[in-house]
Amino acid sequence: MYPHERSLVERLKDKPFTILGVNSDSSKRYKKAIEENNITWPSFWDGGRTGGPIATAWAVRGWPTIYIIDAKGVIRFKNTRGKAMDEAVDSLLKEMESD
Amino acid sequence: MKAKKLLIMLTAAAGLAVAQTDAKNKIADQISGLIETQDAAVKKFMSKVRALPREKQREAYQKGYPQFDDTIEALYALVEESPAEAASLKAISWISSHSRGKELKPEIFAALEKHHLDHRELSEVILSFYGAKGENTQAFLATVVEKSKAQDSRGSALYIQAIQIERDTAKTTQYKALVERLNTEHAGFEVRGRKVGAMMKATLEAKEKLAIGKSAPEIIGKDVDGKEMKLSDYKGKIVVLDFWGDW
Repeated sequence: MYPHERSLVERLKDKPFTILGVNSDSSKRYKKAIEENNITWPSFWDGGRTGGPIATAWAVRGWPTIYIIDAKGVIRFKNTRGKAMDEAVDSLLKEMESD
Repeated sequence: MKAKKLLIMLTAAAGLAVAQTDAKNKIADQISGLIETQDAAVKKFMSKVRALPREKQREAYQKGYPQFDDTIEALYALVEESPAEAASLKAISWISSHSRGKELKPEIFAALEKHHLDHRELSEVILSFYGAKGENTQAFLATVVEKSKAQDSRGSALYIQAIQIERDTAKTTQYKALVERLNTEHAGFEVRGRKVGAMMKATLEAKEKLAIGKSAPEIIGKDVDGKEMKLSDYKGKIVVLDFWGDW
């Protein structure tokens, strides 16, 4: 998970793109995870539990859950992972360039 | 002569009543006995497993977990012997919740429909069908919804019908209709203190708001250091919103 996300962030560092996390760990564990895995992107911290307010509002029942949102704020993909995630993001970037 | 005859009749009737009560208690006791013995065996086993070192727990659990088959068969036999007894309901719940998703024997549904359709405790039996998805289970649930006079049982049947298709994307319309019906006909429906009807409805509404093509709802929150941040701060960028945890 982390290596793939790191490489995606690295590859698209000059593009209008970000990973935005919503983390459900305890604050201690979350801070440790950030350090150990070199996580450079921002995350909301959802209160230290899986039933936190953001996960609840987004009806998240399984982790990880992924939404890909375009530059206009529209939900475009759900639970797209791995190679498919790269392809989805690339397609949205292409769409922005042709707009 | 007449009085004597009457007395004999009365005595015989009382004797019969006592015999019937005895038989009834005997069945109830046998059912309770079987369940208690098996539950105690599981409890004993679990405390033994928990005392083991962590790395050995999983294997011990998989290898030695008490088998339920004999108890299930014995309970089935008792229920088949006295299907009309209220104690049978307890046995049926236990069988169903220990059958790992396998549905009950067809004759049990027939007995439930014939003898217990309006019984208050049928609701508990229905809740034990949580993981059992067979055709007979579905047919029985439909019967309860349409015919049972017990409000709780009808609610539980609708709830279990909904639960069984919750994850089936081909049955979304049907699922929505069930949740709607549960919330209108059984307002405030609860299972063990949880307002499950309202929860299912809230989840459905959230999912609709979060469908592909919808505007992402704003998120206002904080990072781990307490600094406020918003999803809309990233407008103009493609965002991979990742609900994650390091576990």
